[in-house]
Amino acid sequence: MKPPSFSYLRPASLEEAVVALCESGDDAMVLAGGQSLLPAMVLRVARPSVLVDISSLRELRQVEIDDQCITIGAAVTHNEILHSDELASAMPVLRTAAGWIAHYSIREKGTFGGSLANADPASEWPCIAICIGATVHVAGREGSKAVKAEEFFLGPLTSALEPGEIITHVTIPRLDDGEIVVFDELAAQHGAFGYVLVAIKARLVRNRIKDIRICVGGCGGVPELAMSHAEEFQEAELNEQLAVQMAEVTVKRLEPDGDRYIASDDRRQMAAELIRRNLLELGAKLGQGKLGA
Amino acid sequence: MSDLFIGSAVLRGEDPRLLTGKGRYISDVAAPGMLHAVVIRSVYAHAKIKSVAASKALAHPGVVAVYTAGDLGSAQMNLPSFGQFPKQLMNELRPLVREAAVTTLASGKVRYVGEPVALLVAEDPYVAADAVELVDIDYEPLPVAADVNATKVRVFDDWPDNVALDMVVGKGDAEAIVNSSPHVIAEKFYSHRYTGVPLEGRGCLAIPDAGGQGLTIWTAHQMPHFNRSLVCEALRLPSFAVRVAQPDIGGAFGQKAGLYPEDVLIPFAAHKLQRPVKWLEDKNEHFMASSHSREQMFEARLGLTEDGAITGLTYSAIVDAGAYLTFPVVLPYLGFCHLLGPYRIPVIRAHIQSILTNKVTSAPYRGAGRPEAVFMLNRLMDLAAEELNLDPAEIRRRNFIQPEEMPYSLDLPYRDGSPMVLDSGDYPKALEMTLDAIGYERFREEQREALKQGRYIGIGIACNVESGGIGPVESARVEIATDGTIGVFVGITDTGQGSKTSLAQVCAAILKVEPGKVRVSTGDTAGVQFSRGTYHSRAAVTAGNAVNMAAIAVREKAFKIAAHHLEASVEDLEIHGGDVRVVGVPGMKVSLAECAKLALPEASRPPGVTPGLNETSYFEAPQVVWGNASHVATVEVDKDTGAFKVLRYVVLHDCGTVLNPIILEGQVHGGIAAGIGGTRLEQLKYNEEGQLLTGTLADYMLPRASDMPSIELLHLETPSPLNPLGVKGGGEGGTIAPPAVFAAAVEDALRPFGVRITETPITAPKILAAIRNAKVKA
Repeated sequence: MKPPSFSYLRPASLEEAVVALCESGDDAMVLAGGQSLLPAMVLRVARPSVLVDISSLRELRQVEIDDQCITIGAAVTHNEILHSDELASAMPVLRTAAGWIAHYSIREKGTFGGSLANADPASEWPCIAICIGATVHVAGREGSKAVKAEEFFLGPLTSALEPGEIITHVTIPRLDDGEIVVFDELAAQHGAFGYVLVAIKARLVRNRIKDIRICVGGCGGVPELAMSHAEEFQEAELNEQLAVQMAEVTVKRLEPDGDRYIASDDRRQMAAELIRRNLLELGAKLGQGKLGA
Repeated sequence: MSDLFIGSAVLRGEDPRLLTGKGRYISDVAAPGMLHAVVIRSVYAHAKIKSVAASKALAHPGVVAVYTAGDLGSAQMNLPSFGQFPKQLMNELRPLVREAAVTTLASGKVRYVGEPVALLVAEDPYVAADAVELVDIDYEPLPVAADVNATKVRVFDDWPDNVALDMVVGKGDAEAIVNSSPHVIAEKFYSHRYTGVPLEGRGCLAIPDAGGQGLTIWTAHQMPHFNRSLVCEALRLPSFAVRVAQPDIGGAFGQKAGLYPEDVLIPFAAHKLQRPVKWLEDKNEHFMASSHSREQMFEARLGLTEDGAITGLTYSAIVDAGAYLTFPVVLPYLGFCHLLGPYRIPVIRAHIQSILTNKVTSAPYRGAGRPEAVFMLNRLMDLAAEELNLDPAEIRRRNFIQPEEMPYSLDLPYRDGSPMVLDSGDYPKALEMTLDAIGYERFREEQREALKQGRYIGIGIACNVESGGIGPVESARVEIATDGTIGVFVGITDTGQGSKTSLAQVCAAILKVEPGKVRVSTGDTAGVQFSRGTYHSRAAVTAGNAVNMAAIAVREKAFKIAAHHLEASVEDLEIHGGDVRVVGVPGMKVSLAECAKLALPEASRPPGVTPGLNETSYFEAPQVVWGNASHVATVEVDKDTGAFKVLRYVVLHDCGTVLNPIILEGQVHGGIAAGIGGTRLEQLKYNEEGQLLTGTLADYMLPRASDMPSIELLHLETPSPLNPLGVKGGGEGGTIAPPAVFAAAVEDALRPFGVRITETPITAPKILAAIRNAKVKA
């Protein structure tokens, strides 16, 4: 498990990083935390000729919170998100989801932007990002662009990033009163790739559904935004029966694959159960006045 | 037997060093001018090797050599197999055993993905990895035997089928007795493929001696003396010209026993090139080229009386042996032996087969055939309890061999040909103690209450016997230096289990010094002339007793020297605190350091006493000794997600005299962790083309701290009458029962659905499927 030889660049600014990446040819790659890329390199599955290390660029390591939105730099690590009280208070689900990511040493190195760029359909951040309506900001030679998370993931390990582009940061709209986001996962063990991941963002008024987004990870090539508005459930009262119904409607839209560990039907059943449980949980949380915002 | 230090929780002397990063493993050992080797492995599960072209690789800067089978000379050989029946047992049992030996390098044909085809040696490990891609191997792929049912593919071309072992063994007319029993439980069982994953992989550094007549080999191996014999045979060297020794070892679990091609290849390359050569296995290689284990299927019929007493057992077992047969009879025959206790099975008939497939070779992994058989046996007991409307604990009580029947002859031979006799144990008491600890009756009430609230909790029981301490012989040398330091030298290996500390205690107990004053050297052929190594839970039993004997012999010699020096009689002497002294005469004493000086060649020794305070002893084991364990666990199953959590885990482990309770506790905990991993997480999965799908630690999940319940460990000590220390094996006990316990507990929790668990692994998707299937049946 030794990688082929490669050149290593450590630019001093984002601008330099973009130039370095563009000038290093098509098989240059961005190195952030390296927690997916380096294993792929030692297995010789990934063979970049040049690595452009952006992990310590100051402009990619910022976290900002204002009235409108939360901004998380691409090179912020999973553990930094997990341990940030500011982020946890602005959007508690970020801490919940970070806690599900792999193991301590991986969380210590792995980054938020790296996880999005890697576009693993069973990873936590892509699923969360779609659910909470995040926008991915990208820098390239032609300038910067912004891509909605739900349009960012194109397939397994494939994103809307073009050669020479680097994710700089992600913006997330703040939650309104009455809005909450929950996240949950079923996995063979804590830190393993999940069988199923579910993120739900909902707005309830007096326990009646005003708006809802349900994103399911691990059930297809990209995290699936299987419900993106309230649909026929507008104004419905959130109770056990409704939760079961919504779960059924949602999972019908999924086309999960089976793999060596789990059959597609089991994935579907787990997704339905996870959705049902988390709908009830978010109802209970809102009912107790524990607002997501 | 003095118990001054036997049975006390002496902390492991090596831990401060290991825990502060000062361990010294193979990867830390270096030699000047050292080269690095990479094994080039087959990418096909079954293929003809048409050609190997190495010229491009050899032209790559830094590459020193590329060897294929044809280059190895006498080192291209059939590697010896292990644990065969002795001749007299072959004659008695008459098994069909076909030779399917691993060769040093594949020639002509490869039979699994990962099989060594060539060895590349370079100045630098990175250069070596790059150059591997320049070696051009032309394969002609062949159809693949992906499982034991593949009838059209021959793993060995000239065989009529893929059956490598076929035998029938038993006692009494089991078929007729089972068939005429009032109750017959018939079921199939399957244990999946998984294996040991020591954090440190295999590895080797071979260093030629000046003059090129021998080698020093640093290796992470459980059997250094066997390793040396193999190297000597391969390189045509006398045994004393090769030293095999070990630095620290990061786990072994049976997987570093047996012999692998690299054990010959690396010394060959070093000897040929006359330069040190190092090879370190990486994790990916580990999964595709170190032995696998556990894949075994059973079809069983258990007969019972109306009262639930077992009348007999008939079964067939098929081991998916992988591509070669390295331990021809060990896995299925050990399984057979472990069905004969702790429950009384009056008659038994087993049809045992090992069938080759195009997968990694199966070999012992901690438990070595026992977990699979114990799973079948305890599952049968639970199914019988259900059929007879008996409690699972009660049916076990009705079938235990009783303590007053000990020693209990099983009237069948063990795999080494010795008679199988359960030497001691109190199986009923072991079960009752675990049931009391977990509050069995109270749990049944809690279970009823929980069910009313829609919670599915269950309890599982599994009891097993555990053979350990296989012979025939193990040796130890005890030496006292002239500064009074005591050295113990053994050939068994300490791969992390704490043998150095336990053996120091045994020696300290005889010589009456603090265990910390005793230095123990393990796994070095320079230490003792003969050793079989560490496997089959044998180190404490065989090496422990050998150390005990050698320490007694040294003490006797010290007494003779002291008696001469003090002008006293040997009968009046005692040993205490590093001194030999005359009983009742203060000041009349001589230290062990002084005794060592008085034993020097130039000293005035008593007549007939040879120089040196230094004795070697041999412990000859008459037969294996039998420990036992009783495991009880409670679980809660989430019927909607298939997940289950372990609520409590109670284990009683009886391995006779406990040398060191804290070390034993670690052994049992580690064993249970391995059992939990194997039951719930670890899976070696292949596709139809024989490609391994779980070849990294991202795919092959190991148990982690977050997967471990708090384990409540109880001890019962029924010393073995078969050795002076009274010890039995402790290394494998924890690993044997977890699959059976969790299957029982999950099944018990889901009893309202009528779920039946007959296979491992037990994962959330499998539980969901089991519930679905049960609903369909109902």
